[in-house]
Amino acid sequence: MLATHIDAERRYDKIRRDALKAISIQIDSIQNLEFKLIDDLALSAAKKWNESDNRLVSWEWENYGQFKMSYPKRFELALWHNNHLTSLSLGRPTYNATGLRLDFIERNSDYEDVKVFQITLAAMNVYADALGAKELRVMNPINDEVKKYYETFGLQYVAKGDYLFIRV
Amino acid sequence: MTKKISNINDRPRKKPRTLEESAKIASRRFLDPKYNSVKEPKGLASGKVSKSGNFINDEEDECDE
Repeated sequence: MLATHIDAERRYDKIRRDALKAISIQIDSIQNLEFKLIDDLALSAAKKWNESDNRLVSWEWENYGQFKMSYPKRFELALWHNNHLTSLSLGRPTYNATGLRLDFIERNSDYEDVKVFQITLAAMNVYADALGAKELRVMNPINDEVKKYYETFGLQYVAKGDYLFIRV
Repeated sequence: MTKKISNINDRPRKKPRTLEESAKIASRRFLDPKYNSVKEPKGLASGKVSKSGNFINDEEDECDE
């Protein structure tokens, strides 16, 4: 790994952590909610999602390492509630860095105590602001129901590119 | 006609928000009580992995338009 890559990883790791800390302080209405980066504990918990009949994707979150290596400016979030992993998400700045993409989000389909999307959007918003990005994009909603759900928060769908966006 | 250089500063530069300010605005915006009645889909997910299951997608957004 190049020294410049290590430097960038360190720099953005701090911004990521600070952004998550800032949003966790604001969202105090939901008790026992924890905003963490993706770690071994989260990956191990996500492995158990394979056993769920309600799961609609078959992603192997263990493969997240390559994404991590490739994008030091990435957004990532492991959202926990009452010691349950409620969702994982991953994103990165857009090509010209004017926006922040949410490339992947998956909710724990067997845990319904928390609505994860709006919390993730809020966390993304803080990180995007720190990066100077002006737009949030949510890539590739898996079905129409999910797409419509995103639209309730003011996101607009762009068919060319299959994503939704909202200004920061 | 060219614009005078002195006019460049006509618009005051916007001060960047602190993380705390951003977080306040973001939580007010996305956790507004008006969304309380909206039900989140059980199998909520977004994204597209490569055929090999890799999280790095081949598709790049080439412009921000």
